[in-house]
Amino acid sequence: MPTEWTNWSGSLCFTPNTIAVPADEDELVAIVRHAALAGRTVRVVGAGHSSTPLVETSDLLVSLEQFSGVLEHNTAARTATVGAGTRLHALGKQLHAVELALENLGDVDVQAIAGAIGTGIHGSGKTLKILSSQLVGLRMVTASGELVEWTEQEQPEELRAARVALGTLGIFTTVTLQLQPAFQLHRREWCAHVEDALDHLEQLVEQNRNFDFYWYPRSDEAKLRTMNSPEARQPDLAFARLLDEQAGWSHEIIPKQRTLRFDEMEYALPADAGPACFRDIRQRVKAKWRRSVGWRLLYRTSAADDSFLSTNYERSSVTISLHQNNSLPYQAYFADLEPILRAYGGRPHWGKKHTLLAAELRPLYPCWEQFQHIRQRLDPQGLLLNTYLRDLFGIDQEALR
Amino acid sequence: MTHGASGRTTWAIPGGHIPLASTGHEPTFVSCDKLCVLNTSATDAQLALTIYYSDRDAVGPYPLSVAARRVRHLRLNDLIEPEAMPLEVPYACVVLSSVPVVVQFSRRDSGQAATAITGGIAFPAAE
Amino acid sequence: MTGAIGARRWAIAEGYIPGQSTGPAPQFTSHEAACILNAGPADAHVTITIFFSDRDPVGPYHVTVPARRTLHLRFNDLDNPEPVPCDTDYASLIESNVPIVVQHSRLDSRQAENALLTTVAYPVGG
Repeated sequence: MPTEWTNWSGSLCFTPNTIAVPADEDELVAIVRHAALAGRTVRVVGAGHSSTPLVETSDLLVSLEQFSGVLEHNTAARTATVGAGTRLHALGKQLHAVELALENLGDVDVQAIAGAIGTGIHGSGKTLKILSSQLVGLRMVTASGELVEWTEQEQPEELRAARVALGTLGIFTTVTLQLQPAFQLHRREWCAHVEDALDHLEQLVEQNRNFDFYWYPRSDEAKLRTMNSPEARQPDLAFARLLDEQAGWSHEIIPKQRTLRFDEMEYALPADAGPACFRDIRQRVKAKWRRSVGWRLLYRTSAADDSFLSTNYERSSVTISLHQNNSLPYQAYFADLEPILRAYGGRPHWGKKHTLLAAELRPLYPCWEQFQHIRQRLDPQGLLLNTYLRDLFGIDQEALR
Repeated sequence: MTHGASGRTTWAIPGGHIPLASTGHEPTFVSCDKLCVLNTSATDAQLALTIYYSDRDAVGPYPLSVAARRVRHLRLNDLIEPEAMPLEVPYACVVLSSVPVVVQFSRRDSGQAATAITGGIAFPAAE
Repeated sequence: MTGAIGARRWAIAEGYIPGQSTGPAPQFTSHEAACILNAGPADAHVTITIFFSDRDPVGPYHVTVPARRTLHLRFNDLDNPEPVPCDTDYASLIESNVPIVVQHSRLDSRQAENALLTTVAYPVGG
């Protein structure tokens, strides 16, 4: 009896024909080979946090939840190999137990590591890249049912494709991550008027390891978050009021715990376009969206990398995120602001709401064709695609047959 | 200096209507509906708001707390949990508190100069 | 002649003294007032405590409203034990040895676009 599957926010639901929860690689290989023979399609799902239809299928949905845990680690090399389905929250704790840590984390930590990598999630910090940049090795089951292992040394080009691949190159079973020794952070949270925050923005971004701010559309105030090593001099902001401060291990200090569910749109702008884009967004939201939107917007920074489909491909970014309560309508709000984000050269977050397809996306990614070439080579029949991904990648359904 | 609790554990505000437009520096002059909750007792107060509308189901509880011997002034426009309230829509609010508190309701409308507002809770003539 | 009316304990949860004004003083000076009526035959010895959102209460402030008199007390004028800060959310608890009636008012002349309304919510029970 097929059961309905719903994502974290509730805005994405569909009914797969089958949900498989393989216990190990052998079982996964068998599932994929059987699906290939039967002419079925397969989508892989992590924690279900994405709200674009990346995992949507009426056919076979494969969950990675049993591929969990730190399998091995190398303290000297600062690497660890972990199950692809390991949730970031658990991963942070388990890595800490072996005195290692991810360089950065996003605002939430409920995602599976493979999903976080697959969709290009990131935290905030001028020098900090997307989480995927820490991927230096992987094992995956390809569409032909083979187990393939890639490492940065042996397959550097393929790794650049795999780092943001939306689960279309293969089903990851384990990932090897380049980590750091466990480290502490001192976090301060401040309240300021958004104009004051914007006047000091450059300095805030430059002078803090991690910096982001939330802007409250109904009060024009901003909540600023600065995070630095406890040994560093902590910032003192004359224009802001200190609300809170905490020091601790990175995996406890960086993510925010929240239970309230939301839908989100996020675009990555070229870093120097960030402030101007934000000003336009702010003006539009105050003029038109206060009536129905109370949730704060998030402004973050991140560093350039060379993963083919990274939203930070060869440019450092400012990301601007819109949120709406999951019980309230989001479509009109997001649709109204999206053109502003696009006008500044924005690239949408792969796992959050956006309306772009191949024709609009291809020009944003210089290495689009290199990615498609690798994907096509690994999965010529499109076993790992759904309708949305075909539209997203501009793959002609006829050409696959 | 201690006083013990003052007020009631349940309060009602029938006349809610958060204005849409604001003029002037924010947040100081942002148009808003505000609840001011005074807890004179020695126990922290846990509150829950329920918002009633004319044409759809009530929404809530909106959780709120006021520490012992403190006052809290809260703009209803700022709430997002469980969901942001719509502006410029008539509503009513019922406040439930774990300890007796005093609740006062106020509104600022800075939308234009030519506005003066007045109002108050009607006189409760009989039980 | 009527006797004492009102109650011995009053609370105004919505306190705020605006820090700026527009227009000639003193009529248009932004201020907050508690208007106290003592209709009874005995002087009212009134004690005021000011509550804040983020620090302990301050007081007692002592005020006398003579028998059969009214006093429009501006919170701006209180200074013993300390002035009530402007531009700060606060509340006041007003206690008297004899029944009084208290009404709260505010004049906020900071900018033209500034219509204000305030009312005590309806106390249901408990």
